Amino acid sequence: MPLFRPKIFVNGLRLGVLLLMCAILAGSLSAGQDVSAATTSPKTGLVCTSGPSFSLAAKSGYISLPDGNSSFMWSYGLVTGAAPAGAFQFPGPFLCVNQGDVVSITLKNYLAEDVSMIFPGQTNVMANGVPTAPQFDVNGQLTSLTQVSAAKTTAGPGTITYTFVADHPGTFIYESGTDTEKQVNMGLFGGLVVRPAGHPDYAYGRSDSQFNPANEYAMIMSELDPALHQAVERNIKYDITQQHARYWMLNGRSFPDTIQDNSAPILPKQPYGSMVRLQPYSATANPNPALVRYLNVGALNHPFHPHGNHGRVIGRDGQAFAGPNGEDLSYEKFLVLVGAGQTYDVTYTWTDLDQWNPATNPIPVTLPQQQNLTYKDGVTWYSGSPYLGHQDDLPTGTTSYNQCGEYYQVWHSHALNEAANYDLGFGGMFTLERIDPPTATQTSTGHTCS
Amino acid sequence: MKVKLSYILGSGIVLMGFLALIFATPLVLLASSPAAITAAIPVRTAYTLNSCASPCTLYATTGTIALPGITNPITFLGYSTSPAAGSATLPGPTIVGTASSPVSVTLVNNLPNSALTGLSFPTLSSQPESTGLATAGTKAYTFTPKAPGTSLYEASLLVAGGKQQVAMGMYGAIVIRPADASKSAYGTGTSSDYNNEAVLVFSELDSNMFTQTSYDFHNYKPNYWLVNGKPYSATTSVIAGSPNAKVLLHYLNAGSLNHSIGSLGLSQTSVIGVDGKALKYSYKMVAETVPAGSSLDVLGTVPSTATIGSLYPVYNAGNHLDDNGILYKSTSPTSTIKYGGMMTFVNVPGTSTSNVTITPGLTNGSSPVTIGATVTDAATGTVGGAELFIDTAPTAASYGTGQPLTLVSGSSYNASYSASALTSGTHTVYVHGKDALGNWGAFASATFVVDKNPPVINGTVTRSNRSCAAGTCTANVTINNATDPTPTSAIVGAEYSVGASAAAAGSGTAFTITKVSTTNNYNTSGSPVAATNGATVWVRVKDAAGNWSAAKSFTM
Repeated sequence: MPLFRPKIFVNGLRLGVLLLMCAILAGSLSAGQDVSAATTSPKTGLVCTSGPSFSLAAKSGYISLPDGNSSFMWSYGLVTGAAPAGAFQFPGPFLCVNQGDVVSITLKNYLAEDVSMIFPGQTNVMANGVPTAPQFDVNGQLTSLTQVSAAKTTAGPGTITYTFVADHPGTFIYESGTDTEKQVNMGLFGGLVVRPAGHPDYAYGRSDSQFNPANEYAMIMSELDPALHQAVERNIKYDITQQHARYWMLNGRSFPDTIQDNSAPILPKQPYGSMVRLQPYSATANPNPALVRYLNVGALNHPFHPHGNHGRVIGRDGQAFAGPNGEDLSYEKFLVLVGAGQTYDVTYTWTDLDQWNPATNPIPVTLPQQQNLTYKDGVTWYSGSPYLGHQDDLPTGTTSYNQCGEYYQVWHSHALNEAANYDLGFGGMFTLERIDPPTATQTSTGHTCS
Repeated sequence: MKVKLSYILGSGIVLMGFLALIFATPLVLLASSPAAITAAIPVRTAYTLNSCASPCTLYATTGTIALPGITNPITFLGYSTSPAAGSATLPGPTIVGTASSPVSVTLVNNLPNSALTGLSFPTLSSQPESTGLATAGTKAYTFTPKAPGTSLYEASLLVAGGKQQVAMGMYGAIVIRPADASKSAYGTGTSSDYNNEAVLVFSELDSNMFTQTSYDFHNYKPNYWLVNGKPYSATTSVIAGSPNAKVLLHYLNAGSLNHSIGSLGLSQTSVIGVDGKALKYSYKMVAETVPAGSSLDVLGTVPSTATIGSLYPVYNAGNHLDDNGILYKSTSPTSTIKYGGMMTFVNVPGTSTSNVTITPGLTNGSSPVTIGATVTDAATGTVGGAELFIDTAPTAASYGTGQPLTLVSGSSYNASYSASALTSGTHTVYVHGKDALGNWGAFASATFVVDKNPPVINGTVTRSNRSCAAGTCTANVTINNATDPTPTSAIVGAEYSVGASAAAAGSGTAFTITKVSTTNNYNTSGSPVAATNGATVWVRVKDAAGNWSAAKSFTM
């Protein structure tokens, strides 16, 4: 397998991010199309499954990977009227509840071994009405960190109901507490969002955590070693000291699949994209930042950042950064290191500092002539104009995915070995930030973003 | 990078087999091991701080550790408070000092094979040993820590082979207590009070480093994930807590990788200090990364809903919960799932109290009652005491202020309790015990009745069937309408005396009476009373609590 060479990326940076995107997004990519029209999910952003009662099913299934591989997975699927036995999806749904809700999650188990759910950060979790507790067998061996939903038998799937009071807002992980190392690696995890009482547009119960609900995102980070998944599928032994992650995932996808819309038809079992869209800050039209909820269910730390922008880290693990008297202890940070089992809530504001405008504030350098530009494979996301909200001609024969003069920046784990699919760049734990022009600019230029 | 381990360990590899003979059973782990493997029931032995208070003498020597999946215990290099070869613990003893007071640690080099070694205290002292002590060499290290906190000590990296010595186990924790001697991490008023504490040193280990005669650090691939030198499946380090108790966990990472440590079910888990310094603003978290060489002081709260036996996992949030890479159920769906790796539990021990008895259950308070109870402690196996309270189960602040019970035998405790000050009525006795670590358990209770109100003979006392001979008569007595006011207890006895006035209560001649059905009248049922013909006979009745009524008389 060819080694991933970070050098490609570094050189790309020198050429400028926009040209980089031209280089790396060529190929089989078909993003940018409105492929989610058939679904009710927003094209981008957090897809909430609202509670407080949920019915999930632990199931196996297959996901597809950007290089054409597929992987056998275990995951928590949603039980619905149309899918009473649960519909496999990866990762598990983002469960959204309100502070104070009595959350109830019934887990049916269609797998051949016991599974369970743990809720780090919650207290007093009950299982079938009794307090959750680690489980031991008759020999005193720990079998599970919590009560299990029993393996499916001829009598049907196992079932268990977990309940707890979502007593504080924030971003939380849920995952399997049984044979944890294997089952979490197999994909049994998801995210839980608790919204502060009465303030669905706050991250926490404080006004300075207000965000724009149209720009709320979650990125759940995981690693995937196909050897483990093959071993489990084939029921053969796997030595986890030999673990070598080949796929690095955001919301169960690797780049470039990460920038596909939510519920993209080409990824029928991986419904969650992680493209971040936002518009420039405006005190009147767009005063509140985007909120990105990072969740790390993997074994490694993942250092995350978008290019060109600090974020404001406002809390972690379901706790606002605040002093004993409510002091705002949030801080600006470019790179957020999300450790294993941790969540971070970070707000992002994109500010159009220079306000370049072709008529009133032109960029004071001579722009390259379009005939001097070439795009790899004749494909680009560049608009042809450096001005936000403007499009211009591109060299003849060039295809642009640019819709309305928007900008793109990369947003990724800066552990650059993770920007790869099966050790081959470019891919992995990587997504894009899309900066749409202000609505007024769209109106004035006639380039409407959708 | 290639290191000939024989320089470090030399014949230690050969020694290993020899040690295995000395330690006849691989279950014998470390000298200070808080727990060993048992075949049954989860090991729930209480955590104890393996401490070495300043001035502390540490012997650099060998130790052994049994790892699941490896036949013979492996030999590591470490520290011990004993000069004996093989007595080192993993991690080394926790050096305990006090802020603003000199800390003195004396190192004695008892390493095999003429290896040099020295100590360093990276966060506390800038003078690590650079030359290294020769075999049997001794050096005293003294420094005065300015502030309370937790940090690591380790073999000096400046001495030849020091890096390898650290990787092979030569590390431990230093806990500096606040100068005000309060039971807190950083002193009174710093919101760092705790009820129980534990030092948890996290590390990872590549067993090949210990079993190969030569090891290339390029090949470092950990296969064991340890808390205090043990993987979960080998031993369970258990930390005592009780409902609402604050547990101070000193996290230290002595390994080479960063470890994110999470907990499940604990509330208010906060990082209150980092690298030996208190944080101005503590922060709450579910899982926090402890970088290699770093330390965190973490304060958690046991939920109020905890019950005796509750277990709260503290574990590697990156899920290094295996031993030697083995995922149970990876070969057969029917095999037993087993956990290993970097995990321990915060345990809610507390004692279990049952079978509270009060003898007698009805008293007039004139003599003490005996209160008994059965007190056990499943978590530590050792009951540290028991106490009783009357009528109100107190809040935790008052635990330890009750009347103590003493051990009779086995798990039976009792106390002699004077009820003389109690008012008449039903009273509740609350008994609970504490474990060997001082964690008070839940109460059990029982009630008893104090009756200080004497019965009353409301009607007359009359005689019948009088029979006289030589001036002395006997007769049966009828006591009319005798009752016992609240708290009502049965009228169970009577006495009489003869004379101008009644004898003192309780000093007369007893006679037996029987209640007449459906009335409050009582008749003599045994021997009749005897008196001189015409004498005044005084009669009292007694209730079950032992109170005597006022006397009433009749003329014989």
